[in-house]
Amino acid sequence: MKIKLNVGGLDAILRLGIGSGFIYIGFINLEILNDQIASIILGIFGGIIFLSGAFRYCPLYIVIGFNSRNTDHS
Amino acid sequence: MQMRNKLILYFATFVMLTLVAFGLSAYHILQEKSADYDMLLLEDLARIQSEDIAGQFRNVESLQQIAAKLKNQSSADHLMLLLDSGYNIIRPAASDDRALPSFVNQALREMAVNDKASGKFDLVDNTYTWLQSKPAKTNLTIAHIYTSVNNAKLYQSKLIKRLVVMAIIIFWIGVWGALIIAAVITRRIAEQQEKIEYQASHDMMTGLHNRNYLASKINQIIASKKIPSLSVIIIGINRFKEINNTLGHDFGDILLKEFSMRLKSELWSHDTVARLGSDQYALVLPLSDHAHWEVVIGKIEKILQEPFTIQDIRIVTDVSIGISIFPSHGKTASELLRYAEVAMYSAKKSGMLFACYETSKDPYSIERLQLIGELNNALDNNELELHFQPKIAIDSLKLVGCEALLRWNNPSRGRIPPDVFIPLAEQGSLIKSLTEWVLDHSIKQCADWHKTGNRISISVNLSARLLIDDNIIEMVDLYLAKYALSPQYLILEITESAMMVDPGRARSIMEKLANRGVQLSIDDFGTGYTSISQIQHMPVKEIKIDKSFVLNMLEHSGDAMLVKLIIDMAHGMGHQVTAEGIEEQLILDKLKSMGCDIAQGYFLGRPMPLAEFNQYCLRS
Repeated sequence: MKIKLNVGGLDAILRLGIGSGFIYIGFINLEILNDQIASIILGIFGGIIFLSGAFRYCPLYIVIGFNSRNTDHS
Repeated sequence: MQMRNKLILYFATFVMLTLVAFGLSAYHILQEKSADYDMLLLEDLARIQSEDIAGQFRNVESLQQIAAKLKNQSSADHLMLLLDSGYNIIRPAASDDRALPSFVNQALREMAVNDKASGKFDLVDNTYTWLQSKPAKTNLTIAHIYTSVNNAKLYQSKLIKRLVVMAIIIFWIGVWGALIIAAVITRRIAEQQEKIEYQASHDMMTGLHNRNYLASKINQIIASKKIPSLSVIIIGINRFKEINNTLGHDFGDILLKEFSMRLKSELWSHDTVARLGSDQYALVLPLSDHAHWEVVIGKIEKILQEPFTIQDIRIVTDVSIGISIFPSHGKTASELLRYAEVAMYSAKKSGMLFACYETSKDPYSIERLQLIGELNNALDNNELELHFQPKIAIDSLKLVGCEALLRWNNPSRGRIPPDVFIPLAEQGSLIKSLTEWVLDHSIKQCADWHKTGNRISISVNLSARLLIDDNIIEMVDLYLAKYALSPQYLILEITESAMMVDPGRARSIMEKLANRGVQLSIDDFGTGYTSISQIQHMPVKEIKIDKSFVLNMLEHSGDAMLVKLIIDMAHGMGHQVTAEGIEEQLILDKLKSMGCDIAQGYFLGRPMPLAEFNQYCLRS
């Protein structure tokens, strides 16, 4: 079954931006937080956001029945 | 759990988590501030002490160095204090009575008690290390207090960072939670909406669509203008009431369900099959040609071929089908449905499988209602007229009488034939007024002829509706007396079927009329179901052979034989015979040879208005 992409252009850009920011704080520049647990949590969280932006697919959109891709096209 | 309770719980959890998070962060920020306040106090003290030492011990070099150190003291980890001989902190008298931080007091106490150079103690979360030294030539003590590395500040900043991270995630979860809940609620509402819509557009028992849906569907199709014509077909199960009454309503319901299932499976477009009422189903075809009806009707027949077996009882049902067509019959769904229903009832009545709507068969069509209204006015507006058709004695070819026939000249519609407006009048109560009008005028006319010496009889047709009460007798009496016409010149023509509606009553009325000397005649003889024994006892004088037999007499020997039989039988019973529908000489000759008494027909004279008929009388 082909997964229907449901994350639109602007949405994806926001996700990539926020996600990469969190990954930077969480995994790359540890000085900012200087706390392992907070870093890991924020990093994983950022990773999820980043991936959803990169694959243009958000499972939660399916749950709520929303699609930012169509609104982009229309 | 109810949706509302769940929502409240989620919301409360979210609010509490947020409150806890912000409470904690606020507490720690306050803690940090109080720590800063302590540091300010100590720095202040150090500055004052350094000035004090610098002033008091100008000649002691070592103390001068300490004073310089004190003045620049700014490290949070390392605190340097100057104490007097009693281990009290040196501070300007009464100028500064601010309380010292608890760790300073603790350190001072330990220095006084332990005569050691250094010591260590734990207070709250921190470990403090102190050192004491006594500079030479003074009785002062210099105290150093070091705060350990695992200090509160680090802990606080960590906590705040974690709170911020947590807050972001909680916020994220909260937003998504709210969205999901909103989606769930929307979905439920949509489901309920769908259910309501389903209920509004479907018949609950059979699951087919209902009348509302079908009507809106038809209107939609018509409004879309995509197809030029469509047919509405209504199927009514015959004798369904009987089934309900004899086998029970549950049984009837099962039959309807079963029938609906078969309809659904057999007809291709489920969308347009609906159940209208108790035993009525309807379907819409986007076409209106005969071939398609035949396909559908064939399918319905196929459905009914196999008997329904319900609770081990086998039931064979049949249906009546009515068809109406857009746009020729109606332009709205309600019109089409009504007309199809009328057609269905007409099919049911005539025992046919299906019938297409015909305006003339619809007792309720608007045009007919209008006509009834206009007919009412026709009496007052003098739109009615009598025409007379001659009746000729066959042997002598002399005019013996005439049949009075009613004509209606409608000002807007022109001449309306009697076979259109007479049935209309019979549906309402108008027929009585019409008959009265005809009796009045024809008796008057006959009396007028008699005054001029033209002694002919006049025949008037009597509707079945008038054979059920005595009004007709009063009417006949009234006008015969009014115009002083001898009753034997009035012939009342009654059709066979009229006599059979209520034979007992008809006979009594006919007898009363006959007793007055009025002649009675059986009209259209041979087309009804009159029993010959009844005719024998009816007080009639004349039998009129229906023109359908006479018209085809020459071609069909069977018809000729029937005519001969009727003539012989009527003569045998002592009745006189009139033949209608004579259109040529040959028929007249043949009837003459058969012994028929009187002839009537276009060949001898068509129905004509009064002036023309008077001319005719003069000619003959």
